[in-house]
Amino acid sequence: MGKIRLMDERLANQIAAGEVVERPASVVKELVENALDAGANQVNISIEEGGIRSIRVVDNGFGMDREDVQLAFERHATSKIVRERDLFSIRSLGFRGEALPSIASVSKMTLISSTGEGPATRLMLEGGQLISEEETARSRGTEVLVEDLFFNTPARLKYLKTVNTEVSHVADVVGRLALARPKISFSLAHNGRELFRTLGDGKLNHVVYALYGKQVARKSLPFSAEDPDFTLEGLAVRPEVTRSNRSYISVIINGRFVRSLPITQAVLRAYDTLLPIGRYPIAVLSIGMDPKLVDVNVHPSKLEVRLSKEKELFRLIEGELKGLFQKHVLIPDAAAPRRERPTVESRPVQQRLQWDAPPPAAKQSVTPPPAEVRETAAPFATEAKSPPSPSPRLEDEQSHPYQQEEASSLEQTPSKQEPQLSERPSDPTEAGERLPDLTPLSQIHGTYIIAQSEDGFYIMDQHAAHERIYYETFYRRMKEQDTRQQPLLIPMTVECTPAEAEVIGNWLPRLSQMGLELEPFGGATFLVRSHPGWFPAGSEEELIREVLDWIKKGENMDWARFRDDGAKMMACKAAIKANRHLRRDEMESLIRQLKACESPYTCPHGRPILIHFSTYEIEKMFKRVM
Amino acid sequence: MKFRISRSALTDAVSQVSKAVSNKTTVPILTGIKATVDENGLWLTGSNSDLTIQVCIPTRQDDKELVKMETMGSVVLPGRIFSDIVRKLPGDEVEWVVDDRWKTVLRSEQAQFELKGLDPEEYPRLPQFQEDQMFSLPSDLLKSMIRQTGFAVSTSEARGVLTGVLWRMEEGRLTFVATDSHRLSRRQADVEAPEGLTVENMVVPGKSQSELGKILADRTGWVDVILSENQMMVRADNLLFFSRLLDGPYPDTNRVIPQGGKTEVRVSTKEILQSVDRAALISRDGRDNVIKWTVKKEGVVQVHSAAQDVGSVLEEVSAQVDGEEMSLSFNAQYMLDALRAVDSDEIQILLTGAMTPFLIQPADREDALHLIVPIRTR
Ligand SMILES: Nc1ncnc2c1ncn2[C@@H]1O[C@H](COP(=O)(O)OP(=O)(O)O)[C@@H](O)[C@H]1O
Ligand SMILES: [Mg+2]
Ligand SMILES: [Zn+2]
Repeated sequence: MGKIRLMDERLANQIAAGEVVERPASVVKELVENALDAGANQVNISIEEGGIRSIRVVDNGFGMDREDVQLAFERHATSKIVRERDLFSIRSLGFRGEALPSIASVSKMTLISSTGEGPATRLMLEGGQLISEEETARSRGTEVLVEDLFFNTPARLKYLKTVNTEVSHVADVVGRLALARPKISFSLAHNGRELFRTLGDGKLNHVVYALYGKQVARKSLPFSAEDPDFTLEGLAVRPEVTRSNRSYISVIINGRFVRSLPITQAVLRAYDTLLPIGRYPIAVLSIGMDPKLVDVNVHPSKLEVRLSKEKELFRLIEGELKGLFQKHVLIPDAAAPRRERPTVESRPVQQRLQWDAPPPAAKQSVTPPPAEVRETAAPFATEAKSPPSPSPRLEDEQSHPYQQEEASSLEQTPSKQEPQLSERPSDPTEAGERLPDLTPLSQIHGTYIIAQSEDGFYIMDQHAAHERIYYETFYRRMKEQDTRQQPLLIPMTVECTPAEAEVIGNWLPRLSQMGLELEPFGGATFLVRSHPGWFPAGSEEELIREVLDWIKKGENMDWARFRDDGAKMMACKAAIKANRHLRRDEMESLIRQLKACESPYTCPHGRPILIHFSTYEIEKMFKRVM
Repeated sequence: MKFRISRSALTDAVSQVSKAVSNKTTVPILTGIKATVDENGLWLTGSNSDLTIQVCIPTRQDDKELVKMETMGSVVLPGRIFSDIVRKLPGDEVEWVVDDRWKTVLRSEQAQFELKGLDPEEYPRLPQFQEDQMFSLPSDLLKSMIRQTGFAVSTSEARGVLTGVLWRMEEGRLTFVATDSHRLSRRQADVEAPEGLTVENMVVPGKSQSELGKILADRTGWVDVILSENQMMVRADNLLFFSRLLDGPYPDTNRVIPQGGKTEVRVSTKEILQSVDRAALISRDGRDNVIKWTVKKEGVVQVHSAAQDVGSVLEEVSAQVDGEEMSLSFNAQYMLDALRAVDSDEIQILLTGAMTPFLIQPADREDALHLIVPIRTR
């Protein structure tokens, strides 16, 4: 009889485990949350084989006495009385008191805990069944070891992904908790190797340093703001550092990590044209608000929330970040170049005349330089320590935020010392100066302008710069509905297919609103009578054709998007191109106009306009300073 | 500023300076045409990043009065619309009046245009020259030298001086050299120059040189070429043509030009050109536009090309062959460019190996050569 009851309970636990314990990362999450609930300020996590072989979570919280330890494995046993109904107490209700028994039911578990008074207790369970219970010695705190996860539920075991994937999920979970709790020191190790360690000194930037590395932390801009309903605090990393997905935008509400697509979008809107297409920023936002404003009536494990007063919050975030980017000079410093893979040549080769080449006999004796020499030959390698990895440091394409990306920077992470994260001195700008005083020196490859200023020299992409200037002008003109028109002396005819004519026909009022006057001319032909007066001289016809081509392709587009995308597209067309010689007066004029721009750092598609080579970096390269 | 001017003379002049008007530029006034009228006539100027063209419509020409000036003055007008207007004006004569705020009225018969002009003081000034570095040659000779070399320049600004043509002057002999490092063309001629004038490294941008060729098209007579540090000026009747010069030393190309060859081929320019042209129908669809020549002792050049997914072509051209048999592959376009630049009926081809550059020369003269670097095939 007793046995049957027991079976029932084990079954119930395993079923519950199905909900709570999906993979090693969920075990880690439950155990670490328990540690935090126990008031720990230090949590060390170590896993082996992605957590499938073992997971160990050690904390210095208030621990459990013998009685509590036993109780903890009874289903629905919880020491935590229902506190005020804050945001996340609701979340855990469903699993209240279920985590430990559920995990224990699908693994071999050892738990040692001490309250710091009297002996510690060690409990061993296998598949949820008690194997042993003994007294032992331990300082205050709790240590949970979970081995052979899913050993008795092979179906679940099979469902697990590769070790790497599981590690990255674990790292993900710990990273989020670390970002949400900068005052707690976390460490995570896999197969004996530390992946990261946070200091627990309460500084968000130090957490970012530990998780993403020194470069990212150095390039992060802190901000804080509040309005009657919300407090906002966090870091936004300079737009020169990007990632291939949105998961590096971390949102924390009232101390808990959440997912919120609209908040993420507010962040993206603030970055706007500062980011290249398809690239995403790194940012951490910690938002405080009255719990009454949050609704968590959504799937618990997805961490999604619904907010009242959303609009106000988005405006606060977008405004704060935009203001932040206005305050700083966002010119990236020259970074280590990508290492190019040698291409395998199998096609016919067009040979070249070689006027400077040594005679052929000598040429054959040239051997590639030894590896070390080639390594140091990279002129812009800023960190001598960084290993020659095929992927550049800041350009990883990983899909999981906290996956270890840079072994060297993790090694360098000091566990006790303050990281040195000083910003460059010229930053933030005074008196709203968006660009330094640039004097153009010369043009290279018909494409880039070399300019100098007091703090070093700059390389400017002439097309990107001109594109930015035109984009801001065109956008403004369209927004202000500047309808000055320039009639065409000889009307231009535009022919299209009947379907295209239909689309253009629908756009006629809008087009004339912006100053582009079109007239149906029988069949599927239109006559262009005039164009906006602000079309730059020399590019008028090209722009007219481009606008119409673009409309023909686009289906339904609203005026706001038309304005923005249209301004981008026209700017790209009208701007000077690469491979085009510039005279000195053209270079000077370009720089002057760029200075007047609101955001003179990227082209409207997010590519950088300027790269900075600081005097200091140059001196370092030439070993004038060590 | 007020004058009347012959419309046809104005139309011609405007279309000539328009070649130098910038369309895309970061300096808006450069999209304009500058006009200055005085007792000598009307001067029009257009300027872009490579060159500046100034054309004069003289007050009188061949007993015809072209310009009737009332008050002198100067203005800058928007280039494109101004040239459109001039072309479309109805009458034989245009009346041109500019007020002190640069507002310009162009009147011809019933039509009257009003244009917003710009302050000519903002227009960049012409470069200054001293006349001590000057040589002269007939316009026709200059045009053919331009035509026979210009195509070989590199079109990538990143190649620096190779986007230009080297003009060297030594002991009265002018040499043009152009190369994109895959092929090279050289043309030489004796010109009129002061004794002792040596010009080592004057590199004229390819684009400027080809514009010069076009603007000289209908001009005969002699032209003067005048040099300064980083500019050159070509002076012809009622025309000043300025170009920037490229910075940096032009490579010493003499050493890459082979002296003689192991195999000498003489062939009709027209026949070999036509057969390469036909073979190019196939090669241009391939990835690298490769044509292969096999030179045979019995006196033929086999022209062969094959492209995957397209097909192949084989043709024989009879030739006079001296030396070893040989075969080599090359870019069809380079060959076509070179052969089209040859004015003689027969060419001489000098080959040294499948991998080494080979020479094409007119068979009857020494002053022109084209060199092509073969393509290495595996
Ligand atoms: N690391 C720990 N330190 C102290 N007490 C713990 C720890 N882990 C678990 N406990 C105790 O075990 C109980 C059960 O834990 P759990 O099954 O996770 O349920 P819950 O956390 O929802 O209460 C907790 O309420 C707590 O009293
Ligand atoms: Mg718990
Ligand atoms: Zn762009």
